Amino acid sequence: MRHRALIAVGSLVAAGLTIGLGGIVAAGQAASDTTAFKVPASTYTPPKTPWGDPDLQGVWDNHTTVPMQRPANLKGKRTFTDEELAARAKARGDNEPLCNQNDERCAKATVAELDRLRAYNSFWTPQAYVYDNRTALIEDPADGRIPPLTPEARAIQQAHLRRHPPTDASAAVIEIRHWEDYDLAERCIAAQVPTTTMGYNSAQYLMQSPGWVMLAHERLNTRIIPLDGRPHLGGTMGGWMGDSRGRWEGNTLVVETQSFTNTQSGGSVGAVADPGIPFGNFHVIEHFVPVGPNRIQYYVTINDPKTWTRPWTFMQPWEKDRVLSYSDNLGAVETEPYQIYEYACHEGNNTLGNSMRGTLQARQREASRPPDAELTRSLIGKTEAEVRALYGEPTVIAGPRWTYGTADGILQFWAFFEGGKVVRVRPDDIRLTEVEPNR
Amino acid sequence: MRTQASRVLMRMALVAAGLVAVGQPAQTQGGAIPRTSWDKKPDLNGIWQTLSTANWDLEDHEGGPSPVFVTGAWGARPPGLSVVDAGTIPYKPEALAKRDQNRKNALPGTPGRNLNADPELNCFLPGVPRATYLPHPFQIFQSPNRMWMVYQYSYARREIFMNGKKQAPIDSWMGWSNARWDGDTLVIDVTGQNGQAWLDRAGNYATEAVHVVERYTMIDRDHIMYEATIEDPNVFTRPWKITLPLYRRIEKNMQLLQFRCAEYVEEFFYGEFVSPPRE
Repeated sequence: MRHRALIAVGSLVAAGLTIGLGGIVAAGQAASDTTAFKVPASTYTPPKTPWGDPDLQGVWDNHTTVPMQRPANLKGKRTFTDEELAARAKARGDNEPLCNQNDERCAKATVAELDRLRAYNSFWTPQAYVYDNRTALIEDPADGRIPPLTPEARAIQQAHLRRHPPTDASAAVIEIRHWEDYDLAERCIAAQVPTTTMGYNSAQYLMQSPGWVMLAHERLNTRIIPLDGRPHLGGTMGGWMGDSRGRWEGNTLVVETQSFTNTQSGGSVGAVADPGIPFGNFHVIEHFVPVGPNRIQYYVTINDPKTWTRPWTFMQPWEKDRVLSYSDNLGAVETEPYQIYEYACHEGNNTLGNSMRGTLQARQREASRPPDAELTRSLIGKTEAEVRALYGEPTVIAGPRWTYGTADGILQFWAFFEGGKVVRVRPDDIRLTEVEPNR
Repeated sequence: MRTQASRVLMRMALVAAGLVAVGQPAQTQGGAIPRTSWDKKPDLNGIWQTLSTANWDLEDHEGGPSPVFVTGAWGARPPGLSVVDAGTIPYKPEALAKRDQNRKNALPGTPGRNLNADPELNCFLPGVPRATYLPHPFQIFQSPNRMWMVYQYSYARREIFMNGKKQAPIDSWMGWSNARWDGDTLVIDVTGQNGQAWLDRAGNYATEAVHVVERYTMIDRDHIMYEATIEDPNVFTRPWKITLPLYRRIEKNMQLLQFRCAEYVEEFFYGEFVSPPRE
């Protein structure tokens, strides 16, 4: 009892001391917050370019599963042991995206698993992560959490979310009214700067020429960074990616970015800020710290007192010129050095138009909807035999999902079974009289 | 000596082709060709742009009104002489008919993502050589055994393979670029284009069989003479060539700026599909 009381007093004293040293501290911040974070110096001297700059050229991958923020259940734990990492990798393997209908794991999946696994075949998301044993990317604050938003930023975010409710893949109905309901990356405009791992195609080509650095992210962004000390562009001239200026500090490339577009549509894949976080006032400082021939520690500090109650810093390890291996669903493995390919995103983007048209049609259908008993949703609760009796043999059976298509291959509906009965139908508002049985 | 001789030859060729534009700076005016410190090859690093109107039409074209009347003289077409060495493009008869059809479809006048229209109208990637003569600057990054070209238009860019020939693994909008030096000329062999890009707003086009050989020759410090030979047995009776100078953007603190045109066509593509907010 007495012991515990002492500990509590001890941490109060520590917190009080830090507050005293640091001056202004907002409520709820960790005790260590007030000391300015210092990016470590490089521990490796790279070769030099002919014009004397450190040579960091090559394809740098930052593929990782380490989350930006430390999960609550890992509070106080900075790193995993190798055994813990191995166990986590094994668990992750079971969650591999599928869902090729020939895949055995897919066939065995439950409805809930199928929802989670449906997104991509596994070659999209190579499980070749850059080694990192930390539990969060955030280095500062020490608790690994993004600092609280200012009241002003919170109000802007809430207003944004009212206009553009977040699209939640698990929600029963996803309604896309407007193209701005999608984020920047889905609209094929840009990824937010700074950019973290994107799930696939996470690498960037770092190219140097005298006085310049160019970063070609495989997905969307090409950042051109002058090193000649010129002033920043004014206003919002930097656009979605901001306006970057670089310099060498020893072997470390330091890039400062500002003058961002002030339109609120953040939260894209790989973005550090959630949707609706205003980023027009971001001042981003990146440190590319060489720590080995093929490794950079990429530190990013985001300073925006209008948005967050204090600056914060995250670090991602980057690895150069990796040789990746890909396996398809049948287990064939191919290897190749990481090559940046064309990412023609907008050219093939039918998502925006199709989902908006889908919303229009869904609303029209909703307005003139017959009783549930006349719709495909009335199949819920029916057994496999009952569904077969009504519509014949399904066109495709993939695990719990039965597909009924027309003779010319158009999807009519999906029925999802659990415990031998239909638990869900998609779409569930098709008139039964319009369904063409498979006979 | 050799450089001097080739300049004279080039000048003669240009004069013969009627391509020396009024006001083009004398070739000695811009100073000696900059060379890299590492291999003494021409140093192409810099920001470049055409002053031609080839993007409107590679061939001779008169000035003309805006295709959309409400844009008045803002949208008017600037006139220009052909950048095609032989004046006109040697189409096969059926391909010429397709070109003329393209020209009719180039600007459909109705909203929506229209795959028969000029791909530039949709903000699609421009392909090669069109990327070079879009009315936007582009930047060349050159270092030992590495080269990239980044275009201001959309997110167009190319890695130029300087280090051995690589095969295009799959067709793409911007194709696959293998380069070599021919004396002081950078020669880029471009294959693997998907044939969906057009060559200009006037409907000139090639197919996925197109093979483009580009030649970048610095004629002084601030000018590159750009040539592209275009070969495609599906549509042309023989290979043909375009020639146009590229000018260095010498403005103080010049840099490429944001032109993310995907954003500029959203209303055009999707405006008709917007649903009102729910009460």
